[in-house]
Amino acid sequence: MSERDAAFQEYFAARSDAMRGTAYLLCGDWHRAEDLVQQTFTKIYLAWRRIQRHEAMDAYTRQTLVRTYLSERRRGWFRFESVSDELQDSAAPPGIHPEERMVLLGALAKVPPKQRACLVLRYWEDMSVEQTAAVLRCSEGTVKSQAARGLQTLRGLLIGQERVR
Amino acid sequence: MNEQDLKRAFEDVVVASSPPPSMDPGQALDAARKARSKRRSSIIGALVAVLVVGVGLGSAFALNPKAAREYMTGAGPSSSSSWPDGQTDRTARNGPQADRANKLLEELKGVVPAGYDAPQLKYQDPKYSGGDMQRTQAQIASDRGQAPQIWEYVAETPVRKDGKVGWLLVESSTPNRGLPAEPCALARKFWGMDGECQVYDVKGLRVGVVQRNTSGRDQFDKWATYRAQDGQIVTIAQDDKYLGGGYPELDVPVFTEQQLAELATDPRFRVGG
Repeated sequence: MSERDAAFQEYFAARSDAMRGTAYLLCGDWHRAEDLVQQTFTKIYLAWRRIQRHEAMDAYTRQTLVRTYLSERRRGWFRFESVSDELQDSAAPPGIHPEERMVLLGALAKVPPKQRACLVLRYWEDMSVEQTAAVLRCSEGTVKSQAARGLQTLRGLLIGQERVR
Repeated sequence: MNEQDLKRAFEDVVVASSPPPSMDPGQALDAARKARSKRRSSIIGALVAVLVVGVGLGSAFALNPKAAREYMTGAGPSSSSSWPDGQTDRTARNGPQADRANKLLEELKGVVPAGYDAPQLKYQDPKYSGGDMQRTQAQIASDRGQAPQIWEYVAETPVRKDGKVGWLLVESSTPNRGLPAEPCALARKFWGMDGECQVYDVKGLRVGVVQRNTSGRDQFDKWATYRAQDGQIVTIAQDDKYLGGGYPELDVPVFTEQQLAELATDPRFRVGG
């Protein structure tokens, strides 16, 4: 194995779980999240020589992940899957009702993709407005308004579902 | 649900959804190699066609693994470090920083001219799910670990007259050396929006006033931005309508450009000191 391949494997092992968590919140399905992560790291591998000198490789990888997700949404073939037919490998930890998780995932699915990306980057990845704007290729004002709208949309959906339940 | 609830909910969802076992780095590498081979074949084919096979390919795929390895030793989890004062993210929801944002709102409500009021209203546009239109935020605008920290306080409120509703916002920031010094260049940094700008003189203080928003975005008609001697930056922004509010818009702007400039220099809005 070349040193490049070894370095790539090492980086993948270190960061793929974190990136997969972000991907899961974006698309709502673990299998799809793994596809997104694989696509993302393949792009990283192809550009390895250029980005290995990059000072913020994690930021670059995260940016690639989000843009891949948004690009797929734009192409229209991606469909949000909030429920998996397959049994999970392990039981959910105690204390968190599965229904609550499905409610949030279902509500997230209804938040427009860019607003959802804003929410995930700001409140899951803890990225600044400036960093989020750079990833999403938009202005900082748009990030602020999209995040606020996304949160309000989510809040409204969850309140609505709570009433239904 | 507020931002803190959302963050906690994200964590709950990821943990409770039983993530499958970690992905196999070997398989990921195989897939990446196949993609590289496929791309390389395409590139070679294209280059053969123009008789420049090999030009650039060697350098394009050359390796420098040592530098990559050195870089990676510094790569850590994205959410590993903590926020100050027990915060779970960059927004302060209580405590002295949140109090400053609340103070900012009170100061903003205090400058609303006679004939207007500044009520708490709910968004009528269903996209906003009935949220509060009058609100505040105190957040760390700098990156984690960056010193000194940059705090940004925002307060916004509807302004109403005869049932018609406009939008007022004040944003106050602790010193940020990354922003330009020239008043109009500074003003154009507000929310990343561009516009036609003029420098106003307020008793010898220079204030950048954006007179027309040319960003193409439907947020704020005019705003004034001022950097005080102590480095704090204040922006006062206004719009004849409140985006998403769903109320009829004001007939005339609440403030003139000169008044906006004067307000931007008002020390009451410099809450980060």
